Parts: sequence; structure tokens; C-alpha cells
Amino acid sequence: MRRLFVLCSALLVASCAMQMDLPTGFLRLKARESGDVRAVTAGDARIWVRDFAVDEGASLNFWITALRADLEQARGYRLVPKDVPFVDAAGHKGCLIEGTIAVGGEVHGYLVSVLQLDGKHLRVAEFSAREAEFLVHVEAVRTAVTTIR
Amino acid sequence: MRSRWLCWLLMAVLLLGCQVANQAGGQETEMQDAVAAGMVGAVDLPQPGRALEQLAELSDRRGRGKDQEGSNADDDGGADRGDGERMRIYQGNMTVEVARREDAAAQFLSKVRDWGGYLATQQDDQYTLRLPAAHFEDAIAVLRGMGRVLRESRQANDVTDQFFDLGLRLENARKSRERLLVLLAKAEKVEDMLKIEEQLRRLTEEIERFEGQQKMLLDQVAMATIAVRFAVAAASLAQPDGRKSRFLWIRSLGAERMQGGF
Repeated sequence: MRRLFVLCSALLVASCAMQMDLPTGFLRLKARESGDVRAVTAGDARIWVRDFAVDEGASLNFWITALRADLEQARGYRLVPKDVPFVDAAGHKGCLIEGTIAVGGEVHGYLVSVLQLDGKHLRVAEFSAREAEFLVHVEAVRTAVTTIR
Repeated sequence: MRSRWLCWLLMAVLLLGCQVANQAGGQETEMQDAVAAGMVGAVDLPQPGRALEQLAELSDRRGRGKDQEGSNADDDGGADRGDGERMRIYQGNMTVEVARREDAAAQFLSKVRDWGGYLATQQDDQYTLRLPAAHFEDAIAVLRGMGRVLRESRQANDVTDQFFDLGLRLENARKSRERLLVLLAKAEKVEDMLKIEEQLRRLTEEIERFEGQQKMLLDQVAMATIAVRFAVAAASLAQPDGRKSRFLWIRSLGAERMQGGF
């Protein structure tokens, strides 16, 4: 009975864990994950998908605007002005923001997708790499974020 | 007996009257048929003293016919139909900030090709495209949607008067050439022939130049030109204000965070 409970719990956790079809060239770092998704390429491009609990009652547009403001004004990101709306494999509405930032003296590309799961939770997928590596994978990552479920 | 003679006389008069009437009616019918068949015009020969004038008139008519054909060709070009058939040359110049220049350029060029346009020149990040004038505004709208517009200028040059001036000059030149050809046919002295041929050569060059200018105008009216520069969004040089977001989840995001605590 106890084993059955553990098995059911494990299955439940497995079924609730987020999934994403990673693009070719990415290795998933399962040992470092704790309810999130982390993956890297040999060239050190990184994907990180996480869930966040947020204040209740705000729309996706609110969060996107707040994120944009922080990245651009507080941190000096240069963002592409057009956000790209999309829907993930679970039917959640989301939005993609893309930009660049200098980190450690090198220009890095940054792509962040924000999905609204419900009124109190967001799922955020980030992709970042040095510019050259970023350009190699960015289109595949754009496609991959639509497979999040 | 007397009334019998009178009756015969009356019948004879009636028959005679009918015959005269029939002959007159027949002539009228023949004339109407001839007019209908255009035979009257066909036999209207030119007077000897008016031969050159009539040739010039014929040339005029031919020139007008050619012009009408030309204007029909303009209509087919369809550069500007909506505003009283004015002929305008549309040109646009834009600088759009995008994430990746090659992707943006390929995407825009594909759209332009779908519309029947083409890439005219490319120099580094500057692209010049020609596309049917009917899609000029569509192209501008597509570019606006591709990124942040840093610079935009558009112009529509009305060349209607210029085009018709050229048409008139062309018509006059053609008329003069026709006249010279007639004179050349009549010339007897070699010296005269050489002079006329020199004039003809000059006029032919002029006609070709006018035709070339007209053709160029028609092409420019039919196909708009858009010069676009795709600027890549570089890392900001502006100093960030450093104020932290009040939302914790936002503070934990970012390329710099990923490089550090991944």
C-alpha cells in the first residue's frame, strides 16, 4: 500500500512537471533541476524554464510591460520593440521578448518568453548566449517554447 | 367614247408618274448604300496642291493613334488609377531596427517577390527594392511591423505633365520625320539628299531619346522604389538607472543572472 502511494505520488509529480521539446544541440541538466528545466549547448547557450508565483489580478500585458521596463530602463538591455505573442502546447497565452545586453564585456543575446498559467502563476522560459551562439539557436528556441506543456 | 379616251389618258399619266418616281427612289437608295459602304469617301481624292498637308494630317492621325496606344499601355501599367489618372513615382526610404538583419532582409525580400518586385541593389545593410506601385503602402506597413522605425521618408512625384510634354515632343518629332521622308523621296540633288538624311539622323536620335525617357518614366511609375536599411539592435550604450524592479521574479531574470547562477 505504501509502495503504491509512493508510485502514485511519483507519477503525479511526473505528470505535473513541465515539459519542453528541446532544440537540437541542447543537453538537459536534470541533476540541477528542481521543478524547472535547464539545458545547455556545447557552446554554452542556456535555456532555463521556471514557474513563478506572482501577485494576483494582473494581466499578461501588465507583466510584459513591467519586465520590459526593468530590462530596458534599469539594466540597459536593447530590446526589439515588437513583442511576439504565442500560445504554448498547453494552450497558455504567452509573449516573447528579444534583446541584447553586454555581459562581461561581450554582447549576449537574450530571449525570454512569459506564459500566464493562471491569475497567480507565470511560466518563464529564458534563452541566453554569446551573440554568435545565440544566432545559431534562436529560431529553434522560438519554436521550442511553443512546445512547453 | 370620250370618257374612254380620258380614262386611257389618265392611266398613261399615272404609269409615267410611277416610273419617274421609281427612278428617283432608286438613285436615292444607291446613294445611301454608297455612303453606308464608305465609297464616297474612298473616291474623294486629294487635291494636287494639298498633298503635303494631307500627308502631315495623316501623320498626325497616326501619331495620335500611337499616343492613344501609349496611354492604354500606361493604363495597363496601373501605376495610379484612383486619382484622376495622375502619374506618380513613389519612393520610400526607411531605417528599421531589427534583431537580425539577414532574417529581416530575407523576410522582406520574400514578401516583395510575392508582389512581383525584386532586389535592385544591396550594399551592406542597405537594400534597394523595386515593387509594383500598387503594393507601395503594403511594403511600408510590413517594414513598420518588422521593428522600430528609426527613419522614414516617402515621396510621390507627379510626372503627368512631364510625360505628356514628352509625348508632344515625340509627336512633333515623328511628324517632322514623316515630312522629311517625303522630301527625301522627292529630292533629286545628292546635296539635298545628304542634308535631309542628316536631319533625319538627328530626328531619329531625338525620337529614340524621347521614347527612352517615356519608357523610363513609365517604368518608374509602374514600379515604386524603396530603400531600406536594417539596423541591428546593439547593446545599449545608455546608462541604466539601476532601479530594481519591485517584483522579485523579474529581478531573478536576465542574461547576466543566467550566466551567474545557472
